[in-house]
Amino acid sequence: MSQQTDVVVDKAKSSWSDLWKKEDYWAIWLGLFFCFLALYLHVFSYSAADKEAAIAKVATAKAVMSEEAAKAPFKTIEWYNASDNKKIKVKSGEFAATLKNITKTPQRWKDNPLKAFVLSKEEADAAAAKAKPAAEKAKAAATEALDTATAAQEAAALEGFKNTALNADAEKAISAWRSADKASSTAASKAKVSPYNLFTTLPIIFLVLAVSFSIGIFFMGQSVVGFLVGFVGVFIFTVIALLMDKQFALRQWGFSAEAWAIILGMLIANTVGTPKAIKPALQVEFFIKTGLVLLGAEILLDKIVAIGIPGLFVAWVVTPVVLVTTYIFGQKVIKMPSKTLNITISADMSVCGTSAAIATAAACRAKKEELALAVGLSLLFTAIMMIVLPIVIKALGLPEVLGGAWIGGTIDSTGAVAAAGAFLGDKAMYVAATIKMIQNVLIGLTAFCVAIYWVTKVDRVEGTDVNLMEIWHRFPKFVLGFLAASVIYSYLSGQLGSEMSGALITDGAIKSLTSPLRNWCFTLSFAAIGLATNFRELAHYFKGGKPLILYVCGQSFNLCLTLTMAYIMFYLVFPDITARI
Amino acid sequence: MKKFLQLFSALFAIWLFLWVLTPIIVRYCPPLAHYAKVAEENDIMPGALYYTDVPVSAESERNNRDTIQFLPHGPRPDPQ
Repeated sequence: MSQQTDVVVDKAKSSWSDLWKKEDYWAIWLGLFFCFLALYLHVFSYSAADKEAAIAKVATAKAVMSEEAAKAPFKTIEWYNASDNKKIKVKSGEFAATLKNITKTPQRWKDNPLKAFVLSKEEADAAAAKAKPAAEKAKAAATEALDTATAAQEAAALEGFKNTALNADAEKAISAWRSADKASSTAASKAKVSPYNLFTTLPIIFLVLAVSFSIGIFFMGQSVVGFLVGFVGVFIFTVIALLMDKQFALRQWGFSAEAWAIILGMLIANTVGTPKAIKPALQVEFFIKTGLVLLGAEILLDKIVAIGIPGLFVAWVVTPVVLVTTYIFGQKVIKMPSKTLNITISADMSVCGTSAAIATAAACRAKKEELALAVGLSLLFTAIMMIVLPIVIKALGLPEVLGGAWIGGTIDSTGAVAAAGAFLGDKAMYVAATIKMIQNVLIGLTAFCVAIYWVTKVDRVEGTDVNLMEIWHRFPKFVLGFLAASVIYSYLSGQLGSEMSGALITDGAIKSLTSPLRNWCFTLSFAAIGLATNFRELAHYFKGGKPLILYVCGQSFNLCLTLTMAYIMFYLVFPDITARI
Repeated sequence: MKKFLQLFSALFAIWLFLWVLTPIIVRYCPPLAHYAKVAEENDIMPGALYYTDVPVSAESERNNRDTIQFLPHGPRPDPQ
């Protein structure tokens, strides 16, 4: 509908002043500034001597793994120990640690919301002491499981690893030891509780965000004072949404902070009304685009081979097929009035839920109500599927790897995928989380292709040619920042290798700075969406239940195709890999 | 006044569903209880947006990469 009425008949224009007057560019400058700051603090400041020592450690561990792979037809105790030893731990510098600390969001809580903000030293010590007996018990169980595994492996070794029954016994005992060891690590981490006080750090992150966005607001010619006054309200609202996200029992339904921000914002907007003073700070697009440029840093292209060709087929072949088919189905069969809503729902259902919906909606300039509706649908079906799908898999007696691949390729939300995989077991969780991770990386390509398709096809006036300059003028520029962040981080990740990249880029630059800031930006944007959304407008987009029909039909197709592809790739083409996962 | 009443009714409904009904549903529905247990054990937030928000993603990636790169095959068969 909007596509027919919004057909662009004028010629778009670009000028050099766009670089400091348009929010797309400000999203790029702010996002890339933090991306480079994170790289400087965590990657470029890593000493050459430490790097050499880490490389040597990884090489030694890999040599052991190679040797062990040739020794036994299953993963031996030494194989696992070497795999664990490959992990590189890096201690952040003082400034990097401070930045990580100030980007912290409310912590997990159960009954008292104040605990999400403050935990005194005495309370931390008491919590640690309470968890200590369980940690000691888990450690003893892990030691016992290791002894059993060692005995079983030695028995298999005595037969030169040629006795199938002894090999199977050893594999089973080693698997039990791994589970016990993991439980022991989890229990040990629960016994390490550090005190925190977010009332000292929240004002600082407020200032960092307020100042960063105000600079852009100033150059874009808007009132900085009006923005700052309103930003206080949006920020408080964001903190409440982040607080709800961390409530112990509420996570049962898979609602993220972004969902809470929309729900609570809409409640305010549609009952007592959003205060006028807050409105100048409802900069949905500015927040969302900045968050997307930061998200670009997390799109590491080398992740796509994490589970080899089977994973690539399940995530990178099935997903685009489902995305395109659902979009065409929406246009040709259901006749969705809004193309932007159609592609946003298709992307969030086929790629990876909320994050894909955000990127796609921004790339095709969907309306905020359309994004809210797509995210709402995704949350509803995620809450259902993350419980029902593992139960169906168990009832059908599907193997864990197949179940994990099915879950990874179909459930929208990344966290729900990992939890649904864990429902079935460790193997399913590993496969599900990895498939979803590969799908996550597809966001960048999806956003880029949607942006190109929109400027060349959807927004094009019928009967006219679109030249390169026209494409450039209309192209959503923040996508370039999003892709630049992804390319830079991916290049460095590829150069460093998976172990070093895991320590310096993923655990360092991303998890310490860009990811928490992205979380803040997205939650701010969804709080702004909620506070600016009218129930009636939203209901208008839902007319005839077409979005629901589109989602259900697309997801049904996704379920069938993913299961078929997963079976072919994991059980017919690469059974060796599947057997050893 | 009516608007405030609407707001508080909605907030009360949310509170009732999440703090009162959810624990009861979880208690009497074994799959939900199991789901909550494994999510807790693996430190998974089901609402997590991206793989970098899910701690087990790194562990899963390492396990799968190592499996493919160092696929255990055991001793080669003796030459005949």
